[in-house]
Amino acid sequence: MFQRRARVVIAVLIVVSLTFAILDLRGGKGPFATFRSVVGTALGGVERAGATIFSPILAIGDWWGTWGDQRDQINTLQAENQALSDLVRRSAQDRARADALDGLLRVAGAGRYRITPAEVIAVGPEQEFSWTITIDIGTQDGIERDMSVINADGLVGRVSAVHRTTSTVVLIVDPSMSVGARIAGSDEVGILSGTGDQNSLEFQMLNPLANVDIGTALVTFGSKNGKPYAPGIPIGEVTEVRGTAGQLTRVAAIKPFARMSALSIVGVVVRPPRTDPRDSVLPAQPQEITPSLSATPVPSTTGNPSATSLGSWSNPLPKPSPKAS
Amino acid sequence: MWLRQVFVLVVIFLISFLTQNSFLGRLGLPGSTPDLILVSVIAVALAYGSAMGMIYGFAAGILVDLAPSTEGVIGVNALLFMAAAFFVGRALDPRDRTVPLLIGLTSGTVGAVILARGVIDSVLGQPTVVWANMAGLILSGAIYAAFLAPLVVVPVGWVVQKFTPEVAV
Repeated sequence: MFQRRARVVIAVLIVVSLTFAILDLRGGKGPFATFRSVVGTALGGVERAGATIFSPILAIGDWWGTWGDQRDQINTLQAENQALSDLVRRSAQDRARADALDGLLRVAGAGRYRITPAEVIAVGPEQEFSWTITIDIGTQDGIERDMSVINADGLVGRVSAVHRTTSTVVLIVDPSMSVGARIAGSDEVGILSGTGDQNSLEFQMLNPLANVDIGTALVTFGSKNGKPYAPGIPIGEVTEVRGTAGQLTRVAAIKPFARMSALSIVGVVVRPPRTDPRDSVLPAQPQEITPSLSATPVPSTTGNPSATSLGSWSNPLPKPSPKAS
Repeated sequence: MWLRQVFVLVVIFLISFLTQNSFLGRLGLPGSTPDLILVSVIAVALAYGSAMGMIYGFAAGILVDLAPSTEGVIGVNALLFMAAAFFVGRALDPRDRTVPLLIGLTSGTVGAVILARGVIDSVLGQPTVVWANMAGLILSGAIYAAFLAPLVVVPVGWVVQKFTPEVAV
C-alpha cells in the first residue's frame, strides 16, 4: 500500500502523537509548556490577523441581522415622534381653547345665560366695510337671528343671519351696530355705536348731566326678550369722555373688552336670564365704582379702581357677586 | 517541487485555520463549530492520497492542539486527523469521485471524528465531554461539513492539480 518511506514516516508520526498525548496527560508543566506558548503566540498572532480580516464580514452579518429591526424601529420612532409633536402642538392649542371655554362658562354662569359655544370659522372681508364673522353653529343647534354673541371677555356681537350649520355674526364694532348700554353701578343708559375701529366704540349718554369716570365699565341694557341683546353682558370700559356735563349730547369712547381681532371661541346666548344680572357678570367689585347720579363729580376713593379691577378680568376665580348666586 | 508542496499545504492550513477560528467560530451557529480544518485534511487526503494526507493531518492536529482556545490533550487531534486522512484516502477510488459522494464521505467522516474524539477524551478522563449533547454535535457537525465539502474539496483539488500535478492522485 504505502511506500516504505511513507510507512516509516507515518509510524513515527503516530508514535509521536501518542507520546505527546501521554506526556501531556501526565500533567504538570512538562516539556509542552514552552512549546505550547511558542506555538500559541505564533498562532495567536495569526488568529488576531484573522479577526481583523473577518471583523467587517462578521459586522455585515450583524448589520444584515439587525437591518430589518432597525428599519422597523426607525418607522416606529418616526411615527411616535410625529404623534408626539402633533400632541404638543395640539395641547397648546387645546389649552388656549380650554381657557377660552372656561372664561365663557364663567361669564355664562355669572349671568345665568344659557349659551351654546361655537368656534369662529371665518372672518368677513374687511374691504366690505362690515365687521362680521362666521361661526360653526346654526339652526341645527337652535340658533336664531338676533341672539347675542359673547366670549370670555364680554359682548362680541349679534347673530345677523342663520344657516343650517353656520351663522353670521355682526361684531359690535361694525358701524351699523347700536347697542343699548348701561354704565355699571348706575342707572345711566345710552346708546353704543360701532365706529369701524376695533378698539373704540361711541357711547352716547341719554342723560347729558351724568357723570362718567374714565375706566368705568359698561354692560348691556338688555332688549325685550333678550333680543338682540341679553342684559348684563360686559361690553367695555370708558377710555375718554368728550364734552362737558350739561351739553346736549355727551359722547364717551369705549374700548371693548373682547378683542375683535382675536376671536376663537364664542358663545351664543340662546336664552337670556330671567332677571337682569345687572353688574354681576363684571368680575370687579361693583361697590367700588362710585355711583354718581348728581352732577357734582365725586372723586373715587381709590383713584382709578375700576381700571385695575377690570384689568383682572381674566382672573381664573372671580368672586361671585351676591346677585349672581 | 517538495518545497512547493509544503508551501501549498501551509497556505491551505493557514486559510482554514484563520477562517475556522476567526470567522466560523464567531458566527455563533447552533451545535458544533464547522470543522473547516478537518475538512481541509480530508480534502488534502483526497488530493494527495493517504500518506500525504496523514502527514498533513498530523501537522494540522498538533498545531490545533497547541493553538490558543484549544484545551484538549496534545496529540489527540493529530491522531484523529491521521485516521481520517487514512480512511478517506483509501475509501474512494480517484476515478469514481462525484461531488455527492465526496459530500457524503466528508460529512460522514466528520461525524465519526466528533464521536471518536468524545470517546477518546472520555477514555483519557477528560471531564469536558457531555454525552447528552453528542447526538446534536455529530448531526450539526456532519451537516456543516456537507456544506463545506464542495467549497473546500473541489478548490483544494484544483489547486493541487494546478501547482503540484506530479504528486496529485
